[in-house]
Amino acid sequence: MIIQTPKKLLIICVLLPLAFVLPQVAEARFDSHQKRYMSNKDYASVFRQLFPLSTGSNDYKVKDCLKTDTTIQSLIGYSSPAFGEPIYSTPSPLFVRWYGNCVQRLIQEEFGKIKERGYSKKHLQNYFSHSFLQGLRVEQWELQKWYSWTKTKQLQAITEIVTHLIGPWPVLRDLGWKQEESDYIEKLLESMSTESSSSAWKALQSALLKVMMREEFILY
Amino acid sequence: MKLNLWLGLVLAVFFTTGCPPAQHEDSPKRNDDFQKAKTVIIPLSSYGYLRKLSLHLRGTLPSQNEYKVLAEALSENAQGFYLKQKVKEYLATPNHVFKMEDRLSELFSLLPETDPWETDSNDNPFRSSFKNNSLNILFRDLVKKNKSWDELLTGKQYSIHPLKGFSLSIGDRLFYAHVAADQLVEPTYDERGIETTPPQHIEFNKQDLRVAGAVTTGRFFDRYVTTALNKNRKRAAAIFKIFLCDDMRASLPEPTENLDPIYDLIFPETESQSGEPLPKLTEDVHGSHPDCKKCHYKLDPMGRNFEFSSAILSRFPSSGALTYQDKNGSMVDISTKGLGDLAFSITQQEEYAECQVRHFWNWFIGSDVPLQGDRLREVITQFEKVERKTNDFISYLVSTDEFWSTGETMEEDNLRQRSLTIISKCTGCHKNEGLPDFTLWPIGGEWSSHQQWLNKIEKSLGLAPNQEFSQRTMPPKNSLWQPTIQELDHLKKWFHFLKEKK
Repeated sequence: MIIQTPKKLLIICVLLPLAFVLPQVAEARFDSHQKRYMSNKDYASVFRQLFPLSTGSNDYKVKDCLKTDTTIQSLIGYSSPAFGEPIYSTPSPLFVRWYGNCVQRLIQEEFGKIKERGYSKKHLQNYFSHSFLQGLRVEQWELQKWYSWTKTKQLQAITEIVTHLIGPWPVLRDLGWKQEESDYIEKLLESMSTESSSSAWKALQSALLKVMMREEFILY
Repeated sequence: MKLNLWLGLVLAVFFTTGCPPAQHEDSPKRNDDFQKAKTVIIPLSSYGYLRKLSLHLRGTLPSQNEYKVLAEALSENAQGFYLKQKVKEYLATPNHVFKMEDRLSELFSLLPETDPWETDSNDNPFRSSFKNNSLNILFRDLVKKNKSWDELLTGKQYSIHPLKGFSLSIGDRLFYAHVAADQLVEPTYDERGIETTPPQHIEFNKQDLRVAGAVTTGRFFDRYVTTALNKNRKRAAAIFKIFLCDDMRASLPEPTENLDPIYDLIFPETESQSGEPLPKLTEDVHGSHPDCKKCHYKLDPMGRNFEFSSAILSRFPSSGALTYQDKNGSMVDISTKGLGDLAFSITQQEEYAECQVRHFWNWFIGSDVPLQGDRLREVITQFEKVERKTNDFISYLVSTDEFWSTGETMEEDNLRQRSLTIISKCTGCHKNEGLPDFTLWPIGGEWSSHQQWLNKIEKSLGLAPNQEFSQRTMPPKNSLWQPTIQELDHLKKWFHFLKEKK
């Protein structure tokens, strides 16, 4: 598991819901109150795009995250057929809990399958550019401690993830980040201080989770 | 230097307080509402637009290669062409079709369909029947074939798929059995009793009075069931809601006596649950109460068009009427000989066009973005201009300023004043070099040279669409004043706004 400690669960279950609910007013349709959130099937589509190997998983919990099951339809912003309106008027804590759990499971599953395929660089290109991976021995990432990477390398890796998941720097600005790009990356790196003793392999999974838990990731 | 800074500040104060908006005088007025509100929509970058477009139309993120090609297009100033190509490409994807199907299902208050990637299996017959039924196929065809949006209501073609396993629906074969007996083939079954008839296409004459697009489908009838008491009013209400944006809600009349409020909610004006026959209740209370009349004068005549079709489509058309008060308060009362006639009459109404445009607006722009006055008329004109074709109209919507918006807005005056304050810092130094005051418009005293100056400023500060802030050449690195990222961002928005207003 990438996240096991109660402290991290606290972040996922308590702080992030607050982060979604407090700073803005948004409707759970995710498209009708200034901020536009991904909606309905977008989550499953994007998950399938970013975690293609997981689509073949036998784990039912992983499979559930890759489809729009009736049990989560109201959580992700569908209108209730009975009322013609969404049940939740804002992205609810339940949504964040569902979303956080799914992202966590999918990252774990995908990286497990990438490892099974001999640390396939082809599949890692969903998060890192070809030029970044070129010449790197990815299998060593499991043996290397995150703290053993230079800060430049750490920042470079996080920048790669942000670029692949959110988009180039102007996208971040469009999505409301008003400071320098480097501040965004630095802040993400700071939040990874707890990963210092983890392997680089684990730490990068954690970085992926942190980026996907950012509000910018689900905005458009 | 200090003197120049002071001069800059004084000028800034002058402009923030008393500068007439000279730059607006020769600009075309966009529309009255826009002018009144003086609100500036903060535009997206081309990258942000690509992301928004991709998520809106396909539900997936753009690939790294797409961003790379966009960067190349930006460097050649060909981003407009590239993004237009992307709109076409995304509109042709299956994901766009399924996203629209989802939106339509919500509009019709239906349970969402299966995911596009879910295989059609016998494991889940409920979900399978959601996916392959005449209504959902009509939704998808509308988008896939870029049909006129009116076909949603006036379409005469259906696809009949066999029912897979157990389903709550009676199935399309039985639904159309009376009206298309001559077209439907004999069903076949396998040894387990599961229907194996291949999917079939049925088509009716354009003048057929019995058939009306989505309204005459098994799934619509299943969703909006009728009873002897309801007399198809529920179906009529759904049509008013979906096609004329007239959302009617049932109203319970105020009690006229001191009755137990709980019983009053269950059976109005009835103290016992067994005494009064229901028909009397409807006649005495629901039929005559003024609140009820507000809706029933519309619902009852339209409901009559469904008269012979309770669960399956009748072979005989039934006459009724389209009755409602239009937005000017005039009574519309059109006799209709059948559902086909009713559907056609609805598509001729102004309220219909406005309502459909609003659905699209809410889906692609957002219900929080106002659509009224001239802007509404402009969008309806576009809807008509593209002959109400689904994807063509979506192409128009995703090219509007509102779609290009970050969702952030700013008062026009604030944007101008803050921008001039920042620009005044440039003038503070450059005036000594004999350059004109950038805050006095037209710059250099002539409108002919004004735009050239603006282009120069934009490029020097790294604000041009194909530039990054890091590429700016001004102010020089040894300058005491260096603009912050927020200031540059602000100026970039302003320059974009000026171009849009031209």
